[in-house]
Amino acid sequence: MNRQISRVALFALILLAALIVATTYWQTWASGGLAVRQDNEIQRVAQFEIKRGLIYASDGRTVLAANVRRKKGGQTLYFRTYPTHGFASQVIGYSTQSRSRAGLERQENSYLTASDKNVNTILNTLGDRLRGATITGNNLVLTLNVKAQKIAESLLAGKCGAAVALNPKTGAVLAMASAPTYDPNLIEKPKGYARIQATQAPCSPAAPLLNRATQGLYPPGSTFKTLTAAAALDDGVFTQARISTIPATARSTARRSRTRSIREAAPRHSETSACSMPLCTRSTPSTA
Amino acid sequence: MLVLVETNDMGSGLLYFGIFLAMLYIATARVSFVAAGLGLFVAGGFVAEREIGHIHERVTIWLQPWTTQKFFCASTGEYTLRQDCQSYQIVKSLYSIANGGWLGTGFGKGTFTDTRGHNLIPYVNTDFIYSALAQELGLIGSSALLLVFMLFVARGMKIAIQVDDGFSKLLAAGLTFAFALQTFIIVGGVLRLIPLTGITLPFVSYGGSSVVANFLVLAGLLLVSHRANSYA
Repeated sequence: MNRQISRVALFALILLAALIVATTYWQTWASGGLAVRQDNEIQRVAQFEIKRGLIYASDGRTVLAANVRRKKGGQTLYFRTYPTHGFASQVIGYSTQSRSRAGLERQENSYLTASDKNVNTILNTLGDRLRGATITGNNLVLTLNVKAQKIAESLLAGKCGAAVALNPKTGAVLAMASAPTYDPNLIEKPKGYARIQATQAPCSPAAPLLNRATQGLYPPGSTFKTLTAAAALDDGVFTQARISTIPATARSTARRSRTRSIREAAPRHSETSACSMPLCTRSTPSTA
Repeated sequence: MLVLVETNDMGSGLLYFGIFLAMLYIATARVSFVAAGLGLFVAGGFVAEREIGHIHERVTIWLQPWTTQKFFCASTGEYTLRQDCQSYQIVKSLYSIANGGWLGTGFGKGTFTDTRGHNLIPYVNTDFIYSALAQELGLIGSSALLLVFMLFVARGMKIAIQVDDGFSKLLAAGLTFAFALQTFIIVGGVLRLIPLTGITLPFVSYGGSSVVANFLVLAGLLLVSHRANSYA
């Protein structure tokens, strides 16, 4: 009888070993594919179990994005709140359940949720995991200057447009405003998103969610002349004093309308005339 | 058996049939009985799959839990993807297991509810306890649990071999095999190794009667073991 028992024992052990093999399959090979499936809510919920890093203005004190803790069904979840209500909204963006993420909340998501590949982050997160503590993301300090941003936003109030102030030495963005703006706290509120969409502004569509400073499409106009002028002066071919008459240089490629030629007006006689080279200033009038 | 068929309790049916075959083989040493039993099982399973709607659905879910085409969902009365209706349980369970990865999320750190606090996996305390466990303990933890189960089975079978009288041998081997088969049926179902049938995972699932029954199994094994040692 012992031979049969041994055989049945072997069979039973094989059955259980098969379970280990199957578990290995689902937790290693198949794991990545399942995590990204549309109907898998675990990742979507798990992102709210992480205490996202805070977002500060350049002074390191003004909190632009904070967390509120809520207990739901035995687990603690962290949701975003924006204490400054519509300050640099398009830059900071939002992190919500209903409409995912936008702006810096989206761009810096891995940093804010401590899932980036930085060694410090990995060590901190591992420490949190081992201690069983809530995973806490990295804080983000922006270059945005509260004062400059406030001025830019107040100047744009009631208008449609954007304003940006940069530190030319470092490229740091000191202010980036886009109008009309919105309160990111509204997005998770019932009908809040509709209210944002219904924002009244002198342009149509008002599109308050659009960051006009980075996403708005505007013709560059004469601003690009700075570059050509700088290059010309750099070459030494042109001097500040030299006046050149530029003939018609561009032809519209639009087929439906008649071909138009664009004539560049060179400043000739008057100090007040448009200056085609931005580097020349009005205080140095040309040889009239 | 008829009671089990009538109450749609296929898991228990499979369990008793498996134990019966194993005991028959141990007692008679005839492979032909096992072969005949398995043949009957295959034939019965084939007919059941074709004739009994409940079984057919289980097999369909097992083979294709995810669809890109919409099917009629009896519980909501709408046309939905299969993963949103019939195979909802197994799919959510697999997501939970997959989320565990190598090390798991840690004890009490698993995600089992959505952001409004509703359960993601139904029956997570009983039938689907393994998917919760696999998420929180990861591959290392769940493999450790299964290895402990394997150890239990190995010890149980060793008791059966050591003891002298036939009744004790059959009792020990039968109880141990029942334990192993029950584990395989529920965990295999949760892991999509076999079609899913709801029974409890020994010593892990929540539920008084299941725990009491499993401790009775353990007590039986210890008694036999005691007897084996006292003869020696």
